[in-house]
Amino acid sequence: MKKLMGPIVALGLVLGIWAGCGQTSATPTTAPPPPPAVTAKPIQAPTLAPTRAPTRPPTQAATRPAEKPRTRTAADLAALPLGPERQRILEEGARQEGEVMVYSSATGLDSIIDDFMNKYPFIKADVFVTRVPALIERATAESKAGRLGGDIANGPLTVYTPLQDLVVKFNSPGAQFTSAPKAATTYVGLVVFTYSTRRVNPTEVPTKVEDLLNPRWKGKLGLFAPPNTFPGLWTNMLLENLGEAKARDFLTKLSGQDLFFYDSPQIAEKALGDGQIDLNMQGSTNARRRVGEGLPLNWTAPEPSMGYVNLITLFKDSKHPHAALLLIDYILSPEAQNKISGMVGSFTTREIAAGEIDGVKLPKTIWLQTQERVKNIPQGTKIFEQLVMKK
Amino acid sequence: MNFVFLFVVLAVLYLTGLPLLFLIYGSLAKAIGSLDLTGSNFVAVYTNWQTLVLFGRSLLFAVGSAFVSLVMGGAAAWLTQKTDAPLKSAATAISIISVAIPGLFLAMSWVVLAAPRAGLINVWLAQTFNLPDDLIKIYSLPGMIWVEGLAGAPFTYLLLAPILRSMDRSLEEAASVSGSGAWNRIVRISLPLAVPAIFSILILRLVRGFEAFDVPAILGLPKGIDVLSTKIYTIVNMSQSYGVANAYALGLIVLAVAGIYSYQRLIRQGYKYATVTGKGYQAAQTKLGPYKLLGAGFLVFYVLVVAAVPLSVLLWNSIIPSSMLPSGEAISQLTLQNFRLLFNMPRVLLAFRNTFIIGLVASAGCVALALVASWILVRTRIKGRWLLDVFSFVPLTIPGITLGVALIWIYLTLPLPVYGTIWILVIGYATSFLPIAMRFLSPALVQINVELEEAASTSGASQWAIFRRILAPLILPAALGAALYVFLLIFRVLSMAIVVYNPRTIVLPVQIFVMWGEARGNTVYALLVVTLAILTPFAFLYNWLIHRYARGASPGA
Repeated sequence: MKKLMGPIVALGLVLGIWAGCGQTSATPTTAPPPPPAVTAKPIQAPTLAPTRAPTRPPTQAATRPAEKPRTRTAADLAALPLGPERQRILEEGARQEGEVMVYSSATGLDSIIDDFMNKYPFIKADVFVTRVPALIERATAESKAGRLGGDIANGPLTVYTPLQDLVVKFNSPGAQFTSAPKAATTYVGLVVFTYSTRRVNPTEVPTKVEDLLNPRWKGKLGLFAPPNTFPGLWTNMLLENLGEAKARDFLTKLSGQDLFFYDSPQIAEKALGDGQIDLNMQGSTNARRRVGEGLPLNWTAPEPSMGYVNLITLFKDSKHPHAALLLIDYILSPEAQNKISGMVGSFTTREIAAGEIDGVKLPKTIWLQTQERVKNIPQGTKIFEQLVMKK
Repeated sequence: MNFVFLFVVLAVLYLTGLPLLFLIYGSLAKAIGSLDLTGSNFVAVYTNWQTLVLFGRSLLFAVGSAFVSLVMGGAAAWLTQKTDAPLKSAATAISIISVAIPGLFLAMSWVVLAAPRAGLINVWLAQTFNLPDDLIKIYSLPGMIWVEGLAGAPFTYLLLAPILRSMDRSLEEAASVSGSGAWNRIVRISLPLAVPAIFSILILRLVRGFEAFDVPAILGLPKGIDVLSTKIYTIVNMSQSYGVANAYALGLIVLAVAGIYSYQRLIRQGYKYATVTGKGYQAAQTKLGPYKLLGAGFLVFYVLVVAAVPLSVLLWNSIIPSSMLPSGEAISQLTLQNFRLLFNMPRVLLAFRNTFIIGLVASAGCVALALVASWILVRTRIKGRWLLDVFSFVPLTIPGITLGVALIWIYLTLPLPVYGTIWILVIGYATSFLPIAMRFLSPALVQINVELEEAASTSGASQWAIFRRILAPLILPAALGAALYVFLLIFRVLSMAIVVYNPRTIVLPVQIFVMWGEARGNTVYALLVVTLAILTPFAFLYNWLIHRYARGASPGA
């Protein structure tokens, strides 16, 4: 054994040195070229390559020395007017950049990313998925140190709001800007209650939040819990729509229902599927997807209900802004949006306007997340923890 | 040798001191990056009576789970190392394999068994004996204690087994010749000799119980049962209020320091517990006689609850398309699709490669540091060495998420090419598991009587020669155990890595978490099965090495 110690230590050192010498990917790829330098000059309105014939005689133009390619910041590129020239500039720049990184709190982007790389094989796209606070922490810390590793941020308003000073408004063919001026909506959903069609009669399905106090649900009801932000938002929604006294009374009575609390929708879904609970509060995106997979589930949105959005935005210090904008364009394209809708079960605005989705009547009151409401999450969470979780 | 000591001391201080500084700074600063300091976080935490309830519940959880792991793992270690009970290899191998099972899945497997209205045991009791369908309440503090105790039992086994194996039988033989019965010998000789190891394990399990997250998250949070770790997790993930979270974490450190101080006082009397001496020795084996069946039964029970049940759950879920209880319908849907999908995921292959490299480098570095640091603590009289023990223990009390954030801030600030590479993960893991390596090695060093080294020194051997030719061979089982355990833990621990990784440095625990979050059917179970299949040979390698070493090595007279 003593004779093996030396080779083992040597092997460990060799592996360590090899691993540490910049080898960070298993797939053999050529090292991407360095990103274009970010200009230190004040941002100017970007000028496109001329599309009209030059006014000077050709002989004079031929004797003029070739102009250096213009470097553009993320803000410059974001402000480019839509059109084929913008597409050309983005593709040319993306070929030089060769990669793009998405910081996301939402999962499920992998197949979209794969489709994007099939469309643009000269771009390597990666997604860094983590929880909202870790994402915010990473982006903030890296930005302060001047070493931002992400190009795009993807997640709900709770991601966008703390990062809004780090992002820039952009143009994109499929972009819809709502209450977040520098981010585009990728999908919308509602907070709904999913139930097992095998164990719950249609007559028992709640149509308003007060129905959750029915003894039928005692010990069989699952709710979101902190650190998920939905409880705080949901509580604030109830306070606004029911009035403070009525909302507090409702929440206090709700705590007597021997509730289950889940901060992970996957664990909650498993509990619903196993039969531990019969009714579960969750985002409509997951609920709709599960129903679409043929599982014996359905969902309802008791009055009042809460809506949420998932947003995508561009970091102003992005090191790969050309590739980033191409990816944003792709994610917001009809092709990708249809796929996302199928994958996550999101709603379209047309469906919401119709008042009914998949045979489920939508509530009259849909309370939407806004930046202002997102700021009040801690207060709502505290009330939820005190009244419902008895903490 | 003095240069080596100095290097190790500085390395330990660097690895553990910087995150600790961040912890203290973070608890006092108004915001990260700000130099405005305030005591408001401490006021908010320690003037709230809820904090007392939280600490009390956390203490109960930690003590209870430490007791369960000590009883289960300790009894299994004693049966396999000190008696002629059967199934020794199986118990040892299962203990090694089970440390690679993440606590998350151990808890999930017990949910499958004992969830209200749906758990296998509850359903069987309800249908067979007409009992309430939620008789066993796994979502409770006792449920948490039981499962966390089981999660710690293999660790207890791995720590205690080499110690028990190395005990000199002459003391027990002398007692036997004097007419002492087997039970008397256990209580009055074997147990007292194992006190440093037992106490060391108890401290470690206690602190681990305070820091444990997976089991309280799965079994406690659904019923709103908070302990310190889940409270810190909720605060950090909810509001990024590192100040309050760090204020809680500093309370953990105070408890840890108190434990270490007690331990230090104990090992000062280490010579009383030395059983590996200059005389030839052979480990004693007690014949169980009529109790052999009982011993075998306990080991079967140990194997079942610690590993066989969670492994069965893993295997079952890996061959069905989506989670469902065993039934005719489920059996008709058995498939290998999950495994086929797995091998078409390049990121999974990358995660395996990264984890293996990081595991090898971090475990080797961590054990090397811990070995020299333990020697300084146990063998030298350097003043202030207890501070080294405190600093090396501190990472155990820093929640993984906080450690990860600290590493990001440290290596974004320092001009070192670490951030964004696998080296930040190597440093993070080496820091996180340094206390565990120390707990393996310190008791093992205590067991080795200093007279061996004194004899060599008297004969003119240098310190390096003493270390290389006397100490290293004797400490080898513990060092291998530490390295292997750290290596396996790297495949399991998520909380630090989830903060510092990026897609190109992704490791297996993070990949599992991402797949779990993406709800890609049961592919994640297939990934776990493959991981365990790859790690199992390491388990048997460890078992073979230990047996090989114990047979061949003897200091000789």
